[in-house]
Amino acid sequence: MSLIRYSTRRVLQAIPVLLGVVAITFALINAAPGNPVEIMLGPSPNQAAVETLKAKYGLDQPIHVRFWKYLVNLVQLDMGRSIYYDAPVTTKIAQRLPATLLLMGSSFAFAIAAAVPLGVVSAKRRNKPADHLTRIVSLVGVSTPSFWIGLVLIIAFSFHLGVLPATNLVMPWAPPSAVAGASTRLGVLVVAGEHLLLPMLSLGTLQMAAITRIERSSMLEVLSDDYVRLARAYGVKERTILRKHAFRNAQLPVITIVGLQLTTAIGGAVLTETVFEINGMGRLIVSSISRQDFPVVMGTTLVFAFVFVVGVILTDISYAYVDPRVSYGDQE
Amino acid sequence: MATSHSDSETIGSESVENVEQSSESVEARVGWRYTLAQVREDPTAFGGFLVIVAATVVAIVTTIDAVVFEFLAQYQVFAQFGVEKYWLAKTVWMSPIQESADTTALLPPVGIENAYGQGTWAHPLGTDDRGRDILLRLVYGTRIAIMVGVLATAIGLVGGMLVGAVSGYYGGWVDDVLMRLAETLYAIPFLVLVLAFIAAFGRSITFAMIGVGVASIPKFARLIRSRVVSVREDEYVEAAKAAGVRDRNIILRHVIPNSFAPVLVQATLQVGTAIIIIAGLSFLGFGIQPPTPSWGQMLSVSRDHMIADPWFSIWPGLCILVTVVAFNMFGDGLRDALDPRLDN
Repeated sequence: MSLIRYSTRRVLQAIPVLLGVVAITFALINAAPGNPVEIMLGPSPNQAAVETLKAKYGLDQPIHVRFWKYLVNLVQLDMGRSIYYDAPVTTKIAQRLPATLLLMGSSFAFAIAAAVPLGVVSAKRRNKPADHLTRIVSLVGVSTPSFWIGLVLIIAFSFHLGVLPATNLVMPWAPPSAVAGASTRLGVLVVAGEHLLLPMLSLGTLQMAAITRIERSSMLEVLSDDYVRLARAYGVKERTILRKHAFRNAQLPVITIVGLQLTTAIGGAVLTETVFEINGMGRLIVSSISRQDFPVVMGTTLVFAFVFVVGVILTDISYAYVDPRVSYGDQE
Repeated sequence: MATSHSDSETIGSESVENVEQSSESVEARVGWRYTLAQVREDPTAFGGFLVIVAATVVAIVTTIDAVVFEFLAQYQVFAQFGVEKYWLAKTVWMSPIQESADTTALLPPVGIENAYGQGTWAHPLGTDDRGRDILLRLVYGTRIAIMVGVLATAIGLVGGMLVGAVSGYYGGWVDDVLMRLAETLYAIPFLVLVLAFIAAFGRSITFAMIGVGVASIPKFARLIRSRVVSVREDEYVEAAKAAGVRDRNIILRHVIPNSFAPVLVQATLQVGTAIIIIAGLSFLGFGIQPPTPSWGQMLSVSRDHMIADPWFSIWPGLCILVTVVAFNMFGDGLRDALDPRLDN
């Protein structure tokens, strides 16, 4: 029961933060020196056309009125119209979001699946070769730009070996008729997997390395705790200690890090999408900045912030769920 | 609150908070000399330190070199003696596509015929798509990486220090307002915030650098604040207050210096992060613009030549990797030295 209350509180707490995000982004975008209307009409537009366009995009009103309107529209999921595409921003984002979420979701899955065993083994065999190797891999992993990993993977697997595609992403839920080289559901899945593999590795390596480091240090800390030493003194097998006593308790800091890693993952997604020419949110924001398509820049920024905040709330809630010691803040 | 955003969200800084907790109990063993001696005994940290020093020296030399080059170019020296006399010329000469009438006289298009040259003694790492020596351009790119990475971090550090110190020292509504603001900035993913900043102010390395600096203010502010809150209650601050020292001086002379250790660790690690982010921005075309060589920008160019010259894509990335690894190793070593409780 109190978990539900805690969750509700956590969600409510996020509302002022999100409002603040809207305000900051709005202020930033409106500080932009370029006038979008001039960009649309070219260097020497006629006055009447300027006025019509300004009215169309609401630019003839004072900033606080525009902000209020933006908020009211935002609540109704209306983020204005893209200048470049001349289409609603929400439509563009809805087209692009699935690819980004697929990329991020799969890279997190890869990162966690690889990092947890690596960290545990590293802690268990502390200062042995396996530990040194893992530490080197994770140090290099957190220090490598994800977009460069992407380039190297493309060179190795697409150009040199020629086994995996270098560009684009295929949605696993796409109909077989729309996917080249696939005639059945299973075929679509295979093609989608082939396309996803390199971007996933490219983006997931950093997450993997960061989580491995936390997993290792958290395991080490737990393994030197009194209850583990007591269990050892009772002659409990090391394996059992690791599985039953240490592992679960060591996961708490890891959960927190997974949520906070979202911010680097989102940044990495922007770059990875550029490297692999994936039509996701990241490429949308990059190209919209070049085109000075401010409604889209604003919309994508907000959606990215929203994804991040939701991710952090989810980790907080799962943390509270996993750790029975967490007081839900009722006594504060 | 189960897990409010802790200060330890960045890679490798997982025990910054531990540093905070323990540094009081071992105050006697913590001092700059002690810390440095500890770092020297740690081979990885010391190795990282050496690489940082080497990169900084290269950065300084190339900066001086660039200034001399500009100076010589301004006085049309190359038109008389030929640009190839100057070793740096091949690394910075204008791209033939953009050159105007007077840059041709100034900087003749040397070496376009040896584009994609492979390793020779003259060009150990080969030449790029315009026939420029890749090794020299990499060396030259160090300047941008170190300078921009350090400056961006300095902006975040100074800004965060002011915000965090004021917020933690005064508490109350000042604290509330500043921390809510930091939390809000924090909710926008780092690179996206920098991109929004660049969208607003324009694409140039200066704005990219300021953007990265501003975006890292919240991180430093929270860290400093948490330290200040505990330092604030210490006896020497009480004593200074009783002696009538002004708030501003207490913050500058007592509170900030005594909160500095974990911040230094964070700053070292942040330089590495900033180098990666700014390389990423240059890669996207929002940072360093050609023909100035930077690692990120070289990677961006190399994308169009991956089939013709795959190695061209490898080297700049390796440079970023080595530099960032060095900062991370040094930062980790510094943290271990400052926190004797941890024994990794």
